[in-house]
Amino acid sequence: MTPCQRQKKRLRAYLDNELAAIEKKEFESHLDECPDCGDHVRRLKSLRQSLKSLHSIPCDSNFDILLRERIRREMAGKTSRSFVTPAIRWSFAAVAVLTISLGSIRLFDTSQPNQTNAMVAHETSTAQSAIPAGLTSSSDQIQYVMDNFPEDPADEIVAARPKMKSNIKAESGDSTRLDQNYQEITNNIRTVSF
Amino acid sequence: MLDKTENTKETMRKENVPTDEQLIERFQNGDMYAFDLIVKRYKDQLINFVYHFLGDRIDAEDVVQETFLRVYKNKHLYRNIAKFSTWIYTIAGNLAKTELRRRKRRRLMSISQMGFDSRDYDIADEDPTPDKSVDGKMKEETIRNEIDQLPIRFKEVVVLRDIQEFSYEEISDILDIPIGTVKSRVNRGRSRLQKKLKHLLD
Repeated sequence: MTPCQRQKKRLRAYLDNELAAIEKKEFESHLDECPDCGDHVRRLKSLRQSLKSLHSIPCDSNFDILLRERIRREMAGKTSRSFVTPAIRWSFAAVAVLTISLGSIRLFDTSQPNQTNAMVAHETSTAQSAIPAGLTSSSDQIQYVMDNFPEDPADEIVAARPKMKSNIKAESGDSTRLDQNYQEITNNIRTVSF
Repeated sequence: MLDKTENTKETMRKENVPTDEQLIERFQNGDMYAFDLIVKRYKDQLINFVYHFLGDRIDAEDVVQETFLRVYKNKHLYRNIAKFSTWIYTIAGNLAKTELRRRKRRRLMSISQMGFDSRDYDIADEDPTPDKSVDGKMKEETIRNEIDQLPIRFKEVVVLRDIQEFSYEEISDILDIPIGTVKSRVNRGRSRLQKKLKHLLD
């Protein structure tokens, strides 16, 4: 390492006046001996002086007024919407998402042209689950399901209705009355809709 | 050797002037006059700090206003474990850098939207002719231009150290980088400037 390289490591500390007395003396004696390093340090000192004496950028005379106005606007905006806290905003969003989801599920259900198929499938599975244990072969089981399959769609609806409204118990004797009630309700709904 | 801020604090204590930390504490307790005093104390130095990043006074004022607005809104976030000056300079520096990034994106977008033939570049003069007779104003403008050309990592430390006269420790806190890195960047930043401004400094 040349003396110049060694002293270069002390350059910043020298400019910031951080060198110990002995190091400073060593550094300055090198500057006296080496014109290149001497010029370099002189220019750096001049640069620091120039940077220190740069004129201040003047601040706009309306700065304070504009700042107050900006703060007033910001705080007024904040106050006016302060009742809508993030928690409330999230709650609204959650309710909206839930409503849309339920709506789309309902729409999906009603958009099925053959809604009764779902009920039939349900009845099929119900019938399957009630297959007597004695029928072990699959062909016998299929035959049992086919034999017990409800034929009249009205029966399917009546059979399905208790599942739609759990507080109504459909028993065999009530099925006709329930069917009449259902027809009445359906007619009323149609009238209102129309 | 005492730093500029330590000297200022000593003077304040002698003259019974409230320190920054006392002012922000008063403001946290609802004293609006204390906030006005903070603005009065910091607006010029912050504008000069931010100006070196953005090179435009109006933009610098806008960033400094935003800085004070953040201080106003987030006064409760300041804790007396750090110097107030460090806190407010960190906010201003971050906002200035955000603005710079925004400008860069905008410039990139506008260049990409330009037709190839319609490009009109201002080629920087890499070898400016030395002019010994530059007056003070032109010299200052040249220095500012060269500071502006420095990479941001050198620019911010040189501005904070040699123009704003912060200690290395304070710069380390403001920029959240180790003191050793600050010192090395100051050294390299000064050397770069010295090379560019050789004709003015001889």
